[in-house]
Amino acid sequence: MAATRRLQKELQDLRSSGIRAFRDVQVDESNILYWVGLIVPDNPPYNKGAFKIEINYPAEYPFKPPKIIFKTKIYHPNIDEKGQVCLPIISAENWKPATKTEQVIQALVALVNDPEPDHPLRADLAEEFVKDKRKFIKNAEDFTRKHSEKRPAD
Amino acid sequence: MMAVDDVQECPLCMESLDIDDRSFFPCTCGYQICRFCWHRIRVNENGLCPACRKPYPENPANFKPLSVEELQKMKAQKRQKEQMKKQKTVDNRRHLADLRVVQKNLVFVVGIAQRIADPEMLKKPEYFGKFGKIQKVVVNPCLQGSSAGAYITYYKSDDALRAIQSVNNVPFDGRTIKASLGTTKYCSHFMRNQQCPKSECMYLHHYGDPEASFTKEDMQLGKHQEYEKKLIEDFVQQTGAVNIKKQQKQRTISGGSSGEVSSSAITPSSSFKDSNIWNNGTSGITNSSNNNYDGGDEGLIQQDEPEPEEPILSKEENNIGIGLGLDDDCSNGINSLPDDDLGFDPFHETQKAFEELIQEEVNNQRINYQSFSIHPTYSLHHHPHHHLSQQQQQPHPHHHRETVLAQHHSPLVHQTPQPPAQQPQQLNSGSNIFPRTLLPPPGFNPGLIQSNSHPTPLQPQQHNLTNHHWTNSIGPTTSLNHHINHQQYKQAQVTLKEMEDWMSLDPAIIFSSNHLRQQPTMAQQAQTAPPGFPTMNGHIKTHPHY
Repeated sequence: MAATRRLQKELQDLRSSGIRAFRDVQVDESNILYWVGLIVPDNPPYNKGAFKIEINYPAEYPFKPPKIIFKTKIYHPNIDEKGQVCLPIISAENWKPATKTEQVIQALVALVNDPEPDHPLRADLAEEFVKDKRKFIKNAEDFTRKHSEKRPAD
Repeated sequence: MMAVDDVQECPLCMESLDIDDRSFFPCTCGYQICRFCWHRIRVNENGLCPACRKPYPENPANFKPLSVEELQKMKAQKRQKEQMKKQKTVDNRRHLADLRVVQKNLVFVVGIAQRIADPEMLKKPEYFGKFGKIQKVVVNPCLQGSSAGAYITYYKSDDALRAIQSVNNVPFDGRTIKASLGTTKYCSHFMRNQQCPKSECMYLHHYGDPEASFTKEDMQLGKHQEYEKKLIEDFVQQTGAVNIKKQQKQRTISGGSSGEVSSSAITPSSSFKDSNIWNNGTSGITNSSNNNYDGGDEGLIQQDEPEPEEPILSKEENNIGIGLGLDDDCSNGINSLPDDDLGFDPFHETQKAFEELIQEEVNNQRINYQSFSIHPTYSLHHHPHHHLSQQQQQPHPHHHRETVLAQHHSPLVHQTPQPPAQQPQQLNSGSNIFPRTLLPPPGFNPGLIQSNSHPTPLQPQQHNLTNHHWTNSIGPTTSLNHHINHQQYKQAQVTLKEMEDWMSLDPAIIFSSNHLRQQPTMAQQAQTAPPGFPTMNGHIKTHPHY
C-alpha cells in the first residue's frame, strides 16, 4: 500500500519537526491510517485549552485527502457540533496529493486561531463572531474552560 | 532538470525513483513523480498534477530518456555501490570463521562401535531415534579404529539434551560413549554473503546466539561446556519436578525392578527420567538436581578408597569437548584429526576399567560353581524384560537389588572389593552409588542391568554367587537377554546347559583366569565389555553357537 510508506515518512517528519501547536501524535502500530493528536492554539479565546483531533487517511492516500474530526467540543464557526471541520486544503475538490500532513495541520491550526466567518459550518456562531465579537469571545472562553483538554505543561 | 539529489524518492509513494524516472517530469510545473504514480493519476484519479492541479498533458512535459551510455554508467555506479556494501558485509563476517556455535539440537557422540556407525542404524529407535525425531545423522569417518563419531541433529533441542543425558559416559561395546552438544561453524557461503546452494547444508546461515558462540580459545578453556552444562541444568530443572517424583517411586519399588527400568525406557519421556538417574552419577552434570543420591554417594566414597576414575573422567570430558570443536573440520573432510585429539585413549580406558573389574573378581574367588543350579530360574525371571513380567513390576522385597548391581558394576569406584560380609550393611549407600557407576541407561543396556539386578532371593552369602555368575557369564547372559526376549524358557535352559562349555571358550573367561596380564585384543574387548545397546543381538548373537 502506497499510503503506508508515505504515512510512515510523514509521521517521522512530523514528529521530528516538533510543531508546538500540534502535540502528542499517537498512531496505532496496527493501523497507520488513524492518527490522534492535540491541537494547542495560541490565540484567544482558544489559548486556554487544547483540542483533541483524529485524522483518518483513506487507503488511497495521498491520491485522496485525509479527514479530520475534532474529538473535543469547540466553540468555533468553522467546526460543527459533530467535530467536522471545513478545511479547504483537504476538501476533495482542492486536494493535492503533494500536500503533506504537516501542511494540513498548519492550515487547521491557522483556522482555529483565526475563524473564517465567510465559510461557516455554524452560521449562528459566525453571525455572533461578526456582530458581537466580545460576546463571542466570552462564550468561547467559557466553553473552552468547560470542555477543552488540558494544555501540555511546556 | 531539477532535484537530482540523494533522496530520489517519488513524493507520493515514497518509493525510490528508477534510473529512468530521474529524468521524468510529467508536468510543466516541474513536479516530479514516478511513472507509476503518474500512470495512476491519469488512469484512476483526476488526472491533475498533484502539486499544481493543472491537467497532465498527454505526453510528459519534460522527459529525456537516458542514453544507453548514461544508463550504463549509472548502472555501473550502482553496481559498484552494491559491491562495496557487500564487501563490507563480508568483512564484517570475517571474524565468524573463528567461531563455533553450540547447537542446542545437535549431539556430538564419540565412542560409537563401527558396526552401528551408520546414519540409518543410528537413527533407529533402538539407538538415537529413541530420544526424538532426528533431522540428520552424519557419521564422522575420521575417527580411526573401531569407534566412530557422529553428529546427530534432532528437531528439538530437548530431545538432544535427553540423548546426551542418557548416553554420555555409557559403556557400549567396550568403549565409553561420550555425548555432548555439538558445535557448528558458519557456512562459507554465508561468510561471503551468498546464497548457499546446498539444500541440506548443516552449517550456519544466520547469525548464531552470541552466548552460544565460542572461539577456539574459549573452547580450550571449556567455556562451551559451561554453556552446555547450564543448558542441561535448565533442562533438568524444567523436568526436574517430575523426575524426582519418579525417582522416589523407583526407589521404593525395590530400587526399581529391572523390568520397569528397561521397559520404561521405551517411551521417550520416561526414558529420560530413568536416564536422569543414570547420569546423576556418571556425568556429574546433573548432580545438583539429585542431591539425595549424592549425599549417600559421597558418604560411601569416604569409606572406600578415593575414587580413582573421577579426575580422569573430567579430563576426558574436557578434552572431548575440544576435540569436538576441531572435529568440525573433520566432518567436512578439510583436515582429519587423529584419535589423539580426543585427549584419551578409549582402549586404555576400557582396559583399565576391565582390569579393575577382574581384580575385584579375583578377590571373590571363593565361589561355588554348583550354585549355578539356580540359573534356570534366574534366566526365566530375567530375560523377557521387554515383556515386562508382572513379577518384576511388583514391588520387590529385596531392596538390595541395586546394591548388588552397584557393587559389582562399580569396579571403578571400589578399588578394593568389599568383603562379602560388609555388603548388606552398605545396601542403602550402595543404591546411591549405583548411578555413579558407568552404567548405560536402561534403554541402552537392559541386558546388563537385568543380569545383575535380578531380584532372586539373595541372602548375604549369595552375593558372591551372583557376582560370579555375572562376571563369568557375560557372554551368555547377554546373548540370552537379547534372544530370550522372544523365546521360550526352554531355549534358555539349553543355552544354560551349554554354559560350562561355552565358558571355556569365552575369551573373557580365559582372560580372567590369566589375571589380567594379557592385553585384551579388540575382539576380546568387544565380547567382554558390558553389553550395550539392546540390539546388540546382531553382534553377540553368535555366542550361543560357540
